[in-house]
Amino acid sequence: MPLHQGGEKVFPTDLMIVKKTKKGDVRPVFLSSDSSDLAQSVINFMKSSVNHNMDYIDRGRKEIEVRSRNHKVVRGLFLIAERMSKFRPPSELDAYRVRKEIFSRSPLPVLDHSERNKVFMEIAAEMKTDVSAVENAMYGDKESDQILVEPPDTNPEDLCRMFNMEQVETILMHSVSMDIRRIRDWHNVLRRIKTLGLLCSIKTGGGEIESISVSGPMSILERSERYGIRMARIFRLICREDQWEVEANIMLKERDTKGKKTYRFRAGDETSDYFPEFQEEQNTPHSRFPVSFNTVPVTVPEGVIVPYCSVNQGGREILINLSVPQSIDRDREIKAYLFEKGISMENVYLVFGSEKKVRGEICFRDSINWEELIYEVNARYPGISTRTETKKEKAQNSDKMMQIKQLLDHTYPDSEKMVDIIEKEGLSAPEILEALGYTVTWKGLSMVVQKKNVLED
Amino acid sequence: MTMTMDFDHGTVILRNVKQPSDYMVFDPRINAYRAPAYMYGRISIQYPDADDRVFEKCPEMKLTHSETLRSYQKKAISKWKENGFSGTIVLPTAAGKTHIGMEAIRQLGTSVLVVAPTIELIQQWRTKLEKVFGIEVGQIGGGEKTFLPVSVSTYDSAFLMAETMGNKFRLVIFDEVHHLASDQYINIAKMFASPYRLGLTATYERTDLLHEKLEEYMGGKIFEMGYEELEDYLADFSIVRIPVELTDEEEEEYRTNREIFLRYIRRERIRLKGPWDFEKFIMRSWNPEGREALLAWRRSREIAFSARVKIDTVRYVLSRHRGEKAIIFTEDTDTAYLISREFLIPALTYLTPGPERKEYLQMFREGKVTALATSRVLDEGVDVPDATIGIVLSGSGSARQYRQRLGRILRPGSGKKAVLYEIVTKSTSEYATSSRRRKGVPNRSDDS
Repeated sequence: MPLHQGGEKVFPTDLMIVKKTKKGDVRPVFLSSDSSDLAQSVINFMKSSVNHNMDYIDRGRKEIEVRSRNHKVVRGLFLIAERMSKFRPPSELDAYRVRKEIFSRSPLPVLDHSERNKVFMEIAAEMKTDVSAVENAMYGDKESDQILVEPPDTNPEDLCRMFNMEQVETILMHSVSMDIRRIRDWHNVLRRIKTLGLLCSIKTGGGEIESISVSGPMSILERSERYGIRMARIFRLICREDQWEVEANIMLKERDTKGKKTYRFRAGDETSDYFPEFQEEQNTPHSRFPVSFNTVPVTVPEGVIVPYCSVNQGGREILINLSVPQSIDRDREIKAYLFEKGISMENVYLVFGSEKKVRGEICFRDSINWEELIYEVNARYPGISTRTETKKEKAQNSDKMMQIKQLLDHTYPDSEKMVDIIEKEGLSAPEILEALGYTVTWKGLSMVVQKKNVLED
Repeated sequence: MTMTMDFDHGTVILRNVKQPSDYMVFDPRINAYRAPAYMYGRISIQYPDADDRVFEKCPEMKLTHSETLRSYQKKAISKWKENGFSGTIVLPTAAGKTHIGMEAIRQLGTSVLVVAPTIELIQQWRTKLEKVFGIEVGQIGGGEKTFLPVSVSTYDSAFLMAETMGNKFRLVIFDEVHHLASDQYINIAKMFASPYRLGLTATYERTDLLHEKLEEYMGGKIFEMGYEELEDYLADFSIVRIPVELTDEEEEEYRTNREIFLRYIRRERIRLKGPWDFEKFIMRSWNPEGREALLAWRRSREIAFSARVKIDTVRYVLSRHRGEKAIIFTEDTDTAYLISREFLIPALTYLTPGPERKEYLQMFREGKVTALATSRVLDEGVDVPDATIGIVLSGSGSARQYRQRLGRILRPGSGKKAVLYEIVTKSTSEYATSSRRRKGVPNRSDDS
């Protein structure tokens, strides 16, 4: 099972099965091999439902639910099994096109059956198909009409493990705060915490990290579940470690009152067998790069940071602090502080999706480009870069600018997209646009880009 | 050193604070003070010399419109102004709340975000703002993410993006502001720094009393008028209840399922007096018997709500008002699709993609289709001025939902006479549901 980002899809809260103790603990109900029969019956039903639609599967699920001791378990297993299956629409016709045809036939609703059949027959003739294909296609894009093509390729044990994983993630979705302990490799966890826009306090002892307390910016002001979804997304990363422990404060609705109560949730490596095994997505540098991951926590004002790695530049160690754009002010303060102490550190930013790159800082999209990182560090710590590299840089920059210019010319006059193209490269839009023959004016919050010669004309 | 104020993930970070206020909390994780973003207005007044970097720079906008405000609309705006450009205005559906919003935007001439619950509503606001002010309007939600000084957003998108969007708009208008009071959406109000706030709704009070929260974040209710006071401005209307009977087969299935449900709640001594009691029943239905009772309750409701004879009654009503614009309201999406397939009219549900919803509403406005089937997405705010017929095929017992649905056909028009039909299955629990929801609207009903 691939690790992915973790927790993108979790159970809805009403499928959460927990036991609450009088002491204020909350424990998930895990499925073990004892539940394999139930998981097997879900898999069997899915296998027997090939060529049936989701409505049919839903009815079958309800029958199994009534027979089982806990309907939530059945619904949860079905939910995972459905996600692992492949479905197709009931007709090959484009549903939207069919609807458009139907509704544009007459402004008045069709009140008798012969008139209704006539509409379907006309459209079928135009689309060179039969009436049932048109009728099926009318809402053929609706989820309940989708037809099962491929059932889930899994076994009962793995299905149960995935269920357990989603149970824990669903509980953690209600976290107010979370403590992580006993992990050996903190880098990935810290990177994930930062990339999710969360904050953490690190507790150290004897130069080692003892624990990390995770919370969100607002957490200091109120007990908010707002960050729970993000905290849940860290769990997959933690539970694949040999040693781990998670303790979280979980805010849950009380059954008999309108209020919510905070419970303590704890899980550790003694439960690892209940979870699926993950394959880590690797992004490690090639051995030719002078990179080391054996970094130790560094004390800074009001806390501790753990550099992601260090780069050796001619015997000099440059620490790399992997961070997210939201922490830029704090990162710069830390860099300046360490500089005064004689420690070199570079902040490196990762951005995702449509996020804009950070200007003036080393920044990558989605993952680190190690070659570029080493190159940037070389450039920032003089005396190490070579004449050849400068030429190479110039050539690269010139090529890049040409590529950007071509893209901009192609995108013109869509100012917003043009600005996006430049900023995604981590460059300053007004400067680059001016240099490439455009003028920039501001309209409210947006830049308006025009070609220079157009204005002059 | 000068005190600085920055926006950070729905909070304001304050550095170099000499005299911190009680609403500021020192955050050791960043070595600075933090305050919730909604306190920004107060902070900027209290610390006028601080280097304020909370909002992005936005030039003053000079917006004008040629709309004429009615006397009560002018009064509402002046109350809002007196309250420091914050507060909620409560007016019945079709009383012109959008006009009040546009006047508020004109008067402040600053960046503004209009937040509304559905894609239809934000598209409607966007079209009106573009038309009235002659400007381009941004949209966040419904598959778009364009930030402009005047923008619209769904509650969902505003909630998801509050951490990054909370310092982009100085004025925020919450249409159907009662939604804002929910546990989740109230975070939008907390995490936006906007010092100017306007709430608009026809139904301020919530049965769960959560509207009390709005006082702190929105400035409270500052103006209210009811249907009775605004009769001159609304279309004439009547409400007709059409009772229908189940077929013998349906009736037997209904009774069987109802009996399973009642037997369980009697045995468990569950008393169902309101929505909260029902939630408790659902939470207690984790055992096989409870589950069976819940499924039986659902099935009996389905039978009552979507009795076959109701489809024929809709056919009758549509034939009687042939050519008039009608909206058919259902409680669930399946029934909306059933109506759509039966009468070959568009269905608008939460599953309908944004552009398609917009297209159907446009077709309806232009008269290219004269009937729409919808579950709940058209309950609120959508403006279809010449719709005269509403058909409630099924619905909840909520008076608020009923008022909103009625409001869809009350937009004034010359000589307009609107009729709201309610098709209710006799001898089922739906009758009591219908009676519950009728409380809270003017009594103009006939049982046919």
